[in-house]
Amino acid sequence: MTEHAALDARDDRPADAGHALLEVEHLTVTFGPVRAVDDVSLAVPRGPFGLGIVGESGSGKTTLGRAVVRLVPARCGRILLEGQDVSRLRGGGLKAYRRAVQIVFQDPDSTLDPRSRVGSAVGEALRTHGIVPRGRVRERVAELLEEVGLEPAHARRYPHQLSGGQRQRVAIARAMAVEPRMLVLDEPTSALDVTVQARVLELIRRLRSTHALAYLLVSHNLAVVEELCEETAVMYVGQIVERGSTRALLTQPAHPYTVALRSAVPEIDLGSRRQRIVLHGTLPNPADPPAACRFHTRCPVAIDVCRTEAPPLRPIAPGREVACHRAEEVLSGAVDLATAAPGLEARD
Amino acid sequence: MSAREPILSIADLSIAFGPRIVVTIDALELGSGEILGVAGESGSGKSMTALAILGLAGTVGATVRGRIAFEGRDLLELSDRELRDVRGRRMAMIFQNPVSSFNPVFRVGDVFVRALLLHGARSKAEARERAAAGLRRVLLSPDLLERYPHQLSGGQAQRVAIALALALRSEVLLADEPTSALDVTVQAEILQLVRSLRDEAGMSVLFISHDLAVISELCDRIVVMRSGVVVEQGPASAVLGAPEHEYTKALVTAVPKVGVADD
Amino acid sequence: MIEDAFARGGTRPLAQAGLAIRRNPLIAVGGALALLIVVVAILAPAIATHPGDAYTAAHPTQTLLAPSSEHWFGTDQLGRDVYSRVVYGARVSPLIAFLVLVIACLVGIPLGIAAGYFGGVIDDVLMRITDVFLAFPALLLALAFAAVLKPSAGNTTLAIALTWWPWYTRLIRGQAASVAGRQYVEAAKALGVPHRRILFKHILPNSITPLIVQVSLDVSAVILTASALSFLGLGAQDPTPDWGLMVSQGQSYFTTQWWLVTFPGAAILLTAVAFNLLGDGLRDVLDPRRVPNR
Repeated sequence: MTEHAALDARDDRPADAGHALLEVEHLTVTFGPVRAVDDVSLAVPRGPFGLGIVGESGSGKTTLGRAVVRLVPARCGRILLEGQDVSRLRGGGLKAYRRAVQIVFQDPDSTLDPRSRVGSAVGEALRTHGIVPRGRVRERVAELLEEVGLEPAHARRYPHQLSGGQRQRVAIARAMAVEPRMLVLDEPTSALDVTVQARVLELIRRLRSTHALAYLLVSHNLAVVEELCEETAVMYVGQIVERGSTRALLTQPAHPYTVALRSAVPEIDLGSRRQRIVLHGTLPNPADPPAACRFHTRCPVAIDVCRTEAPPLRPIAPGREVACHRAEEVLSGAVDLATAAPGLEARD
Repeated sequence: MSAREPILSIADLSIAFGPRIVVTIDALELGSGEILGVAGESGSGKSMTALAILGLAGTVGATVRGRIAFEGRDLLELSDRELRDVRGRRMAMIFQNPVSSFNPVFRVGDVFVRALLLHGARSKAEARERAAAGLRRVLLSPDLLERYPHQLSGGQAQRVAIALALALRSEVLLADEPTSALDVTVQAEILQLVRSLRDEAGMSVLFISHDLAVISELCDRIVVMRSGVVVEQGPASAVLGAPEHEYTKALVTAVPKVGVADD
Repeated sequence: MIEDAFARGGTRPLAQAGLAIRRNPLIAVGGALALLIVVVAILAPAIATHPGDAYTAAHPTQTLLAPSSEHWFGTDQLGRDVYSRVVYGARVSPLIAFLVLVIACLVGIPLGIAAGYFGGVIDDVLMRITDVFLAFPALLLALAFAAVLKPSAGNTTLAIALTWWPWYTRLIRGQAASVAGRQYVEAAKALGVPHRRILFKHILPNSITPLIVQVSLDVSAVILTASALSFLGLGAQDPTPDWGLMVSQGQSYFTTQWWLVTFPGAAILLTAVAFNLLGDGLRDVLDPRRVPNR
C-alpha cells in the first residue's frame, strides 16, 4: 500500500477517538488591536497524522503555529496536550512541553545561527533537554544528521556552507533531536527550489512513518498539504472557514474561498486553459473586521445576509465543517463561482 | 511564429564576476507581443540576465560581453543617457518585492508623476491625470497614489508597478519573480493583469520565475536555464509536454500537483 | 537571486585572516604596529636610553635640547630624555585606554544585550539608567572625582570608563534587538534553551561586530580624553610619562621646541592608526561570510 493510499484509509476516521494528542480550544491571539487568530479550535490526533492549515497572508496560520509552541502568548483560549492544559505553563513544565512539541520554521537562511556550526545547533537541542549524556552528544548528532539525509561530517560546517535544502534538513534534525510527539511545520518548503522541495517533503513523509509523528503543517501550498495531511483546515483573516478531510476539501469544497484558492493554484496544464476564478476586492482591516462574513468583500457569490451576519462554523457533513451561509449550494455545485459576477472594484 | 523582427535579441552573452563566468547564452529572443518565460532555480543566472538586459549588471560588479539588441540597437553600445531613455520608459521592470522597489520616503504618486514628467508628460497636472488613469486601469483606486509604499499590500504595490509600465507605454516588460512573494489568489490577479498587458497593449513580456507552473499558465514560449546556461527552449507546449533535457524533465515532475490520484 | 552572485567567505579563522590581509594589506600593518607598541611597553626598560628619566628625574642643565645622537627625541622642559619617556609612555596611555575600554565593555555589553533581547520594561529601565550616565560629560565626572579623590591616572581611568560604557550599551542594544527577532533566536526559544545561553551564545556574537569596530576607533579617543583631563590637572600627574600629558605640557613650547609635542603626538597617532586598522581586520575575520567591499 502506498503512502498515499494509506492516507486515504483515514478519510472516514471518527473525529475524536479518545483524547487527541493536541487540542486547541477557542484560541485567540492578538497583537494590539489585530486579532491574528480569532476563536480557533482544532484537534490533532495521535500520530502518524497530518493536519494541514492552509491560508494566505493575514490568515493567522503562522501565528497559530507559533501559539501552539508557546512562542506567542494567547489572549484567551486553551491548548491541551493529551488533555492537560499547557497554555499557562512556565519553567520546568513549559520545558517539558517544548520537548513534546517542536517547530520547524520557513526560512532556511535564518533558521540557523550563522556563527554556530551545524553540529552545535543540533547539539544544543540535545544538551538543553539532556537527551543523551554529554559524552554521547557528538555521536547522537551524527545519527540525527544521517537520519535527515546528511553526512556526519556536515556537523563541522557553518550554515552558509550548506545549501538551502540542507539547512532545512538541519532544522528538522534539530527539532527531531528532542524526540517530540508532535511537530509544527511552518511552510517548511516554501523557500526552497522546486526540486529540493520534493526531497524535503519525502523526508518528512519518511520521518512520519518511522516515528509515528503527528504534525501541524502550515502552508499556502495546497499541493504540499494534500501530499502530507489527512485533514485540512482553511483559514481566512484569523478564522477557520472550512475543515475536513483533505481529499474531500480539495475535490468538493464547500466554501467559496476554498474554491477560489483551489482554482488559483497554477498548474502545468497543457489542455485548454482552465477557467480561473480571480478574486477582486481587498482584505478587511484585521484590526477592525466586519461583524459580517469576513470574506464578503471578495466573495463572488455574496448575498445580503453575508454582509450583515457572520456565518458560524457548522457541520455540513460527517467530519466536515464550514462557515458560510451558502455552503450547501457551493458544495452541491448549485452555484458556479466562475461565472458569477466579479467582486467589487478594489477599494479601501 | 511572428515573422516580424524580435523586439529583444540576445547573442553570445557572457556575464562574469572577474574571472568567474556566471552566465553564457548563445541566443535568446523575445518576439514582439510575445510572453517569454525564463524558468530556473536559484543560481540559474536568470536574474543576472535580466540585470544585464537593463544595463545594471555593472552595479553588482559584473562585466557583460556580447550583444543585447533592443529593436535592432545593441544596448551594450549605448551611452548612459541613451540607455536611460530605454530603461524605465521603453523597457519597464517589475521585481519580486514590489513594496521595497519603491523608495520608501516618497509617496507612490510622486514617484509615478515624476516618472511621467521625465518621459514625456508636459505638466504636473497631465502627469497626475495619467497616473490616476493608470491605477484605474489595473483596478486600483487613485486614492492609493497618496500612500507610501509600506502602506500598500504586496499585490497593490505590484499593480502600481505594472500601472507605471502601462502609463509609460513601455514596449517591453521585464518581470523578475513578480508573484513569488504574493499570495496565490493575488498572484492569479497579477497574472491576469500581465496577460492583459500583452493582449490589450501589445507589450512583450519577459517573465522570469522559478515556478514552472506559473510560467506554464502565462507564457507562449519557455527558456529553461540552469547554472548560467540555457538547457532548453521552445514553445510552452513542447517544453512542458515533451521535455528533452533531463533537467527540464526533473523540473516538470517536481512541480507538485493538486488532486493527483494515488500512483 | 542576486545575492547568489557574490562569493561566499572562507571557513576557518586563520584562512579568513589570510584572506582579510590579502584583501587589505594595511591590516597587517595595523597588526604589526599594535604588536610593536605592546613589545615596546613590555621591553621599555631595555629599549629606553635613559630609563631613569621616565619618572622622577630632573636635569636642569639639559633642558630643551634638540634631538641629537645622545637624546634621540631631545629633552623636555625638565631635561628629561623625551625618547625614554615616550617609550615608557607606551605603558601608560595605552594601558589607560585598554582599562577604560575593558570596563566599558564589561559593563555596557551585558546591559545592552539584555535590554535588546528582553525589550519591554527591562529595556526601558536599562535605557533610562544609560541615559543618565550618558548625560555626564567625562570632564565633569572627572572633576567631581578629583574633588573627592586625588587626581591620578587610576581615577581618570575610572571616570572616563563611567562615561564611556553607555555608548556601548546604546550601540549594542540596537543590534541585539535586531538579532533577537531573528528566526534562529526564536528557534532557540522554541527549543527551551535558557535565556542566559541564548544571550551569550547567540545574541552576543551576532551583535558584537559594530562594537568591535567602535572600540578600535575609540582607542585614540580615550587617549585624547585622558590627555585633556591631564591638561586640566585632573588626570595623570607629572612625572607620569603619559603621552597626552606630555603633549599638553609641551604645547606652550611648540613653536620653538617642536619635539616636545611631536614625538608623543606621533605615538598617539600611531596607536590610533594601529587599532583602527586592526579593528577593520577583526571585523573581516569574525564574520564568516561578509560580502567583500569593492
